[in-house]
Parts: sequence; C-alpha cells; structure tokens
Amino acid sequence: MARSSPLRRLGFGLFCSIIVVLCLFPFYWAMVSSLKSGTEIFATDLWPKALTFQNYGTILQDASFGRSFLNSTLVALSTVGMALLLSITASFALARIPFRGRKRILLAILSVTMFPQVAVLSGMFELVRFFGLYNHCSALILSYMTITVPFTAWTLTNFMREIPKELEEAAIIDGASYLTILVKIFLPILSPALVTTGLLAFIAAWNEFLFALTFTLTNQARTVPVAISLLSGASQHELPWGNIMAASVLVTLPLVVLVVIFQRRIISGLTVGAVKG
Amino acid sequence: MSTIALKNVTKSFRDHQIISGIDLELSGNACTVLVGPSGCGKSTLLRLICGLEEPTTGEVHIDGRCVNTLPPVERGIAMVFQSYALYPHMTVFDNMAFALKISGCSKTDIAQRVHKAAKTLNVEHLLDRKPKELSGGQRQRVAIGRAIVRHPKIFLFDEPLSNLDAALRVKMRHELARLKAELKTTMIYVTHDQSEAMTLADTIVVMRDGRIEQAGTPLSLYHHPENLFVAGFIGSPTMNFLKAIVEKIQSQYLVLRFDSGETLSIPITRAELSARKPSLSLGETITVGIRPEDIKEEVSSTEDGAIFSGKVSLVENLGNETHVWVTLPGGATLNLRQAKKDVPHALGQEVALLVRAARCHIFDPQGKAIQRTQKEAACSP
Repeated sequence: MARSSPLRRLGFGLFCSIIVVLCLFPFYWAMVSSLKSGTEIFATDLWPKALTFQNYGTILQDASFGRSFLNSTLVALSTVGMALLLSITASFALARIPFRGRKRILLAILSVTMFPQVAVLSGMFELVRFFGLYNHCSALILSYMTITVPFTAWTLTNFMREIPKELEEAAIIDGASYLTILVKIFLPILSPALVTTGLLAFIAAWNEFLFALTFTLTNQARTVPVAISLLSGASQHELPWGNIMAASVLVTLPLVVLVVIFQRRIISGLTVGAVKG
Repeated sequence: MSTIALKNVTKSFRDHQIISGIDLELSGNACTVLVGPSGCGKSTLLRLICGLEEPTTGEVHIDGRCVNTLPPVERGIAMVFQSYALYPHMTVFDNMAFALKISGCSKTDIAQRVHKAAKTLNVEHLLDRKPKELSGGQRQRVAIGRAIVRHPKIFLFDEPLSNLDAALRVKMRHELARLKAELKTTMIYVTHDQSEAMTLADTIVVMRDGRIEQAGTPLSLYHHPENLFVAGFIGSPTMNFLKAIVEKIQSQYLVLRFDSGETLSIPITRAELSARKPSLSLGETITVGIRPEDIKEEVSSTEDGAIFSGKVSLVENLGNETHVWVTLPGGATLNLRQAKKDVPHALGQEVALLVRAARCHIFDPQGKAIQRTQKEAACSP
C-alpha cells in the first residue's frame, strides 16, 4: 500500500472515533451525572446546567465509604503483593528448573484461569467459613489470589523463559545462589513484566464484585464496588444516582493514576522479550 | 597454574550419549583448544569441567582433587560465554564486580581489581555504561574482564569470538593471545574454527562424536594427523584425498595406483609398514592425502611423485595467494595453492600437477594414518 487516499484516512479516523466514543462515553456520563443535582440527573443533557460538587461532598463525608475505600486499597495491594511473591517464585521454578510434571502444572494453572467465578463461589465460601474468615478482608485476599495467581504465574513464567540461559549460568559461575540469581538478576530484568502483571492484578482485585459481595456482611469488611452497589437513599424507592456516580468516579481515579504513572513501563513490559544481554 | 584431569568421563542426556569415555590430562600455563565440528561434544566437555553439567560417569579432577560434586564457584574457574551473557541491567563496573561482591570482597578491593582488569582490557572509559550501549567487541572485552577480576586458576572460553565479524575476530584473537601471555593461567578454549585453534593453542584436542580423535601441538596435528578426520579438519583449504590401490610393496617403497591410472611410489620402510596390524596387502584401497601447498605445477621437476592432468574448475583469488581447484578426469578434485608470483589460471584451462611423493600422507582403509619418517624430513622444506 503506497499512500492511503484521503477518503481512506477519513474512514479510518471515523472508525477510531467511534471506538473511542463507545469506550469513553459511559465514563463521561458517570462524570457528568456526578456533577448534576436533584432531578436534573434524569435529564438527558450532555452537560449539566448547574455544576455542583454536592454529591462528592456527601460521599467523602460518609465514614463507611472511607472505610470501604481503605478496605479496597488494603485488599488490592495485599493481593498484588502476595500474588507477585507466589508467582515470581513459582514461575522461576516452572521456567528455569527442570522437574517432572512441569508441563502438567503449567497446563493446570492455565485451566484454572478458565473457570468462571460463579463455579467456584460455593466451594470458596465453604473454604472461607472453614478458615473462619467470613466477613473479613483476608477472605477477599485469599479468594482474589485464586483469580490473580494463575494469571500472573502463567505470564511471568513466559517472560522468565525469555531470559537467556547463559545469564543464569554466568551468575552460577560467579557464585550466585538461586535466590541471588532471582533477586539480583531476574527481577531487575523482569521489572517491566512485573509492573504490567502487578497492575493487571491490582485492577482485577480492585474491581472484583462477586466474591466481595458474598464473603462480606458489614461495612467493616466491604470493598468499594459492593459499597457503591449498596448505597441507598432516603427511602427504599429512591436510588441516589448522583452519589453513586460520584463514588464511581472517585473509585476509578486511583486506577487512572496508576496506569498513567506506569504507562511507559507497561509498554516496555510488552516488549521485554526483545531485551537481550 | 593448574592441572585438569578427566578420567573416563561420559555424559548422556536421556539416551543420547554426548561424551563417550574421555581421558585427558592438561597441565601448566598452557592454552588447550577443544576443536571439532558442531555437535561433537566440545562445549559439553567444557561445561563438565566448569561444573554446569555433572558427568554421567567418570571423574573430573582439578589440581588432583575430584570436583564432581563441587559447585562451579568452588572450582576456581571463570568462563566466558559465546553470547557474552552480560547482566543487561548492570553497568560494566557492576557486571565485573558481581562475583566479587558475592564472595564478600571489600569495596576498595573490588574497585581496585575491577579497575585493574578494565585497564588490561582497555575498557576503563566504559565502566559506567550498560551492556546495550557497547559494541560487540566491547561486550566481549567486558565478558573477559568479568572472568579476569576473579583471578581464577582456570579460564574457560566457549566460542568467545564466533559472534564477532571477521575483522574484529582476528583483532580479538590477537588480544586473547596477548592476554594469555600476560595472565599465565591455564586456559581451555572451545571453538569450531580451526584457524583460531591453530593460532591460540599450545595443545589442540580434536573431537568428533564425543571422542578425542587426536591431541597434540598445532604443528604436530598439521604435519602428522593420526587419521583422515583430523587430516581433513586441520588446515585450510583442506587436505586433498585420493583413493589408490596398493600395487606393490617393496623394501623402501610402496607403489600405489590411482583410479585414473597414475602410479606413485611412496618412500616407506618395512618397519613402518608393519607397524600397522594387520599389515597392508596387495590390492587394498587406501587413501592418499596431500596438502594444497604440496602440489606443484612444475611438471619437469625431477622430484618423485605422480603427475595428474585435469581442468581448472574454480579459482579463488585472495591477493597474496590463489586457491585453484582442478577436476581430474575421474571426477575427483585437487586444490592447490598458487603463490602470488605465479601466472594466474583461467577456468577450464588444462593443467598438469605434480603430487610430491615425499609429502603424501597415507591412510589405511579404516582411515588411520600410516606414519612415515621420510615424510617428517620433507616437512621442513
């Protein structure tokens, strides 16, 4: 294809704009709605007649929402930390140490990621009860690990395989132990991959709803997605859309900030295989 | 200065035997080069010595001590890899200091040793750079520097120059030769390039299919190959081989007849002939080997030999000399070296060549060389 015709470029631009609008409109709508007040929220204006931050004020003053926000942060960070710790060590073994049944374990890990959450919900509930973790944040951390660890372990194993074997052997000859090799050689090389998988795990844990709804009972243990869904108005028949929208926007912000911060590293993480000694 | 001894070492991966029973003793400040075609087990042998692989059977001894179960770091060895294997996230300084840090050297000691090694290798100005900012030759130097700083007893090189382009390879070869003289340690060097082997080695070990074919000094391998494989592997362009039938066995001569009808009398004593058991019999087919430089074009020469005539089929001009391939009527080809001053040949030209009897190598039907003392005398022209 030489130079594309203007018509072709216009078509491509149009196509892209449609996708962008489709993706961003719901978020835009949430933002705009959160800035409306009273009955105006039920109008279909694309921009509010009178801007108000009243909804944000209500949400920020709500102590239970603050608590949920803290819970979400705690749960997501712990999940990411533990998932990375487990999957780094696991993937080192799976990618680097030859042992019997390595392929089968990898296959098992992959197949675990295919189960729908609902399928494991009741079993997981029994497990949570058995450990006495019901209505406790650690129940969520435990259950989120079943979602995140297979994914991070699988991804990191593939990244770890890309590292040339000679690097490891050079380190062995230099006298490094397995732990030194992992910490001093592999982790720095893998850092873009770690950031990428860690971020994806964080998003998954931050947004998770089903387990959070099932394994928690009170505001003490609730995470933000559940808390938002349970926001209620003055009466049974009133849904505080304004507050819900404001809370949704507030919850999305940390993710946006994280992605912006790590954006460059995510991109280089996708090409980590191209890095050769 | 160390001694390395391999005692009946074998190595198999699953059912596949890579190394089949090797006995080898290396000692002194010598550079030993393991050479052979790819897949011959030379790299595996190196990895057995450094401890990255464990022998299936047999023992590896360093300085008289069996090191089969010792991890690499306790063997006093350092290794330079073909792909350099520099740590990409560390600076050159950190790359070279890594082993020292692990072994717990003091900071001043590390800095001193790294700077000294960097100076030896002319990479002092690169110490703050990352490997990706270095050229191939510089990376190779850093990889060598990483080995030097540890003051190892034994240096192992696994095809260190094969990733470099031709000009740089020759330059680094010279530097390695200089380094070898400076460091005065035991070196083992693996390569598939026979010219690297010839120039760097004190001892060459030629390997094939997991076995040692011959070990010796470069010149002894060149002039007295023990079998067809070594004869064909050492030397470039390669030795010419011609099939011949034993026609007569006389007291001082062996008379051979080639397929194309020429006869050749090779000076050899009875004792030398009978060294081969069972002794040659009339009518057996043997192989005659002749190096390109031992074929002459002066047909009028009074020297003993066989005269072959054929057509020039390929000419390679190298400037200082010319390699000429001549196809004989029977289909066999002979290649010879022409000095610069000689008249260049044209393709298809008819030429007559003298294969000098005194310089011929002869190999029995099994490919083993039949050594002759008369040939040795002829080796120094």
